[in-house]
Amino acid sequence: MAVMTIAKPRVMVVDDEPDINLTFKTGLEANGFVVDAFSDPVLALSNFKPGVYDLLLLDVRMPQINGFELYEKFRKIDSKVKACFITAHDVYYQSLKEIFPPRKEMLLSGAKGVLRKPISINDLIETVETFRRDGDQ
Amino acid sequence: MEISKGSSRNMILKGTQNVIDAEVQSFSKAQTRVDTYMNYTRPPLAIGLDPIRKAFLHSKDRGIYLRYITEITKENLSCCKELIKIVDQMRHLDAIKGNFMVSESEYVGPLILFEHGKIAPQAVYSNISEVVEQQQYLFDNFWNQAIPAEERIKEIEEGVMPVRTRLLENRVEIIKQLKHLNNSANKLSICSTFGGMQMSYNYLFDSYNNVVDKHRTGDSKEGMRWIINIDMESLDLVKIFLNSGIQIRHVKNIPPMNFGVSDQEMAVTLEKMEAGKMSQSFLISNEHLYTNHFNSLFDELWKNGIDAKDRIEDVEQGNLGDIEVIPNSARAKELYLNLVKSANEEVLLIFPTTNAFIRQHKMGVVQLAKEAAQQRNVKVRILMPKHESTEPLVRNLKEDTHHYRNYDIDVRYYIEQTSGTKATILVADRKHSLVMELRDDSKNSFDEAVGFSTYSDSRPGVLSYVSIFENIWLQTEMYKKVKETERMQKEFIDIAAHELRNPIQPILGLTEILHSQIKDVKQKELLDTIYRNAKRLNRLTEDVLDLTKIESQSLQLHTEHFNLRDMILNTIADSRNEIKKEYKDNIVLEFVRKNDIFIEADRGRLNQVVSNLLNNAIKFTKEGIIVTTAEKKDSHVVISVKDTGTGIDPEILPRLFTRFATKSESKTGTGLGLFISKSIVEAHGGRIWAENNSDEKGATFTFSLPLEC
Repeated sequence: MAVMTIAKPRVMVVDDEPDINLTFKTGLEANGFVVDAFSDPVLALSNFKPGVYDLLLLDVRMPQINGFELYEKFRKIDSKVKACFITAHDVYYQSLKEIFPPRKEMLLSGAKGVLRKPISINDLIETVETFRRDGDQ
Repeated sequence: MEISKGSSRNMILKGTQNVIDAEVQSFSKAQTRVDTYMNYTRPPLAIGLDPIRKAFLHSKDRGIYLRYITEITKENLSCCKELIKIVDQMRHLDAIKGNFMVSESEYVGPLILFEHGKIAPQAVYSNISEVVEQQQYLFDNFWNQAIPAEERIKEIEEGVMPVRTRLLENRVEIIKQLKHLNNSANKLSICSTFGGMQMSYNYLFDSYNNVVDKHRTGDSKEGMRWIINIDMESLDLVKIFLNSGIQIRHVKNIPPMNFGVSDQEMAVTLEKMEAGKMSQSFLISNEHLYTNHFNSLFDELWKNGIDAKDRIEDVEQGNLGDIEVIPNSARAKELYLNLVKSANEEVLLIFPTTNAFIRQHKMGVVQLAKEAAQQRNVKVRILMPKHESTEPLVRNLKEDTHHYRNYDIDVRYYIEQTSGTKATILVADRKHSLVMELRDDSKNSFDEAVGFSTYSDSRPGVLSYVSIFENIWLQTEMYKKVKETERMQKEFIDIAAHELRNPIQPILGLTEILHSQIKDVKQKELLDTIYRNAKRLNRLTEDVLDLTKIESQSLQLHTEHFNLRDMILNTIADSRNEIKKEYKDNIVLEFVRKNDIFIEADRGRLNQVVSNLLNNAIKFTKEGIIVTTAEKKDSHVVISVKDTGTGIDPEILPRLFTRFATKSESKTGTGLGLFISKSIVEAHGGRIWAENNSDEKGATFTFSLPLEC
């Protein structure tokens, strides 16, 4: 008899600060997620495989490449991959908040929303759960 | 000699007897009237010469109307008094020359060689109507100028000057009368143009000695005073007059007339008497009304005059500067435009208000300044308040037209209240200043908006305005630097605060994770302390960020429609976690009147306010109830948080909602919470206040908001 195994949801975290990666990774793993975390966006790109990730958590301001550009590159590999941006900056946060959710094309493209750092682990889990399921039939 | 009847002719009659006969015949032939005009030597003959006297008496008996003009003097006074009884009317005229008599049909003009008591040896005779009419016209003119004999007699007998106002148009007569005025004066005041002074020097200078001497001996208090505009032209003559003991003062704008006034008489002419030419006419009067008027006019001018010695010094040193008050705004406008138009080196302009700039831009001043810069290389600097409405005009001012590449025009904005100026100030070439006072800024036209103006070309005065301008100019530069420093400081705080958020994330997040994994109670307590302090650090960071937003006026509200009741319930639930463990059992958080209240507002920001008020209440309460209420009142909602804590220190109460209003002993809190709360409430169009409870201990914080902001 075949045992039905429900695959754990898989999340990629990209933030140039390793400590933040560690925090999110630990918090998410403690709540049943599989997490790949990268502090180097280039490394993240080279490790990215289509159809693997339920959600990407992307920092907006990073040294070599910003979160939006990175997401465009991921989408070239996997057009359906969903993302949620994280930022400590009010300017990004407010402008992104205004984009999500009203702008339909962003929704369809898979960009789900924005989180502001610092965020409590409880809130993080709640939001990631919502976005991961969002659009799933 | 018989003059034949019926023929019209002119004749020269020779011989005394023929002259007498002709006169007597004229009297007897007259049908209605005989007019006689004789110099002062003739009245004695009219009375003393029998045929003539009889001719007068006979004519009178026949009902012929007799008029007689002569110069009545002390010498001929008695004869004149007799003659008055014979003729119908007699008048006096000063300085009569020549003699004639004229009836309706004949003219007889005896040619007298001025010998007393002698009849003329020759006479001109005419019965040609044109000649007779012409002479009649002449007589009537003299008659109108003459004064009644009775007045003149009284004047001689009693020494009383008759009250008279005369217009003199004879040069000799004018000089005679002016000298008479000067010689009989006990004080003498003259206000004249340079031409008037020259005329006086040419014709009347000696006649001033009388008053000057009286002044010297103390018989005349005021003596002789003179008002004139002292400049390079009049300088030398003024010195001569000064040296002769005449007191002189300088007045720039003297009335457009020359006048002299003594204690008894005044003389005035409207002519300029250029180059010292004698005036063609003078009005002379001894009427009190006139003398009083001119004396007080003179005194007024004298009072404001500048002492000649000071003025002479200025003129000789080239300090010809003058200050002129211009009450007429149309005249100020003309001067304003001309000064800008004729500037050759520099134009400095301060506009007091935005409206003043717009008005004067419309008037063409700014365009003229631009042309001065473009066409004459004039350096133009403008100071004005900053306002969006004038920005296109200012841009246009600085824009190149292809003909003029590098013209020098610079505009700076000053802060309106610091300049404090309520006048437009123009300085042209550092030689002229024009200050135009702003009377009513709401008016559209320059004429209506401007009150008094002051023009000056006095060097110290003009340079003062230059220094005022330079000071404000420098201030704008410093203000710019201060602003730039301020901006950089704010930017730094903004970046620093944002950067703080990143390190807080791992502390908060990892503490939270560890807390759920660790079973050891003591370790859990240690983690709680880390967590609480990380949250405080987080709160502080957020407060500093909010402060920078409030101060740079970039606090933006993100409004949405939501149920205030739900928000407050959540906030209260969160705040329960803030209560310290040792007080947890003693403090109760309550929410009363849990009705739905839908409101259009920034949910996150209002949450921040309520949470701040609750946390404050918790901080200062050891036991008791903290009651939150929310009530709809008309178009407002009123939310209050009432505690039973220590209450508000009266010392802090007045500045409770200002920055850093915290007591040093309260270890927690940034002192920013209430200030931020107030800013948030006010951004919603509401207000916030606090008071100590009157009936029990503790305080109540209340804020009201419009349902739709």
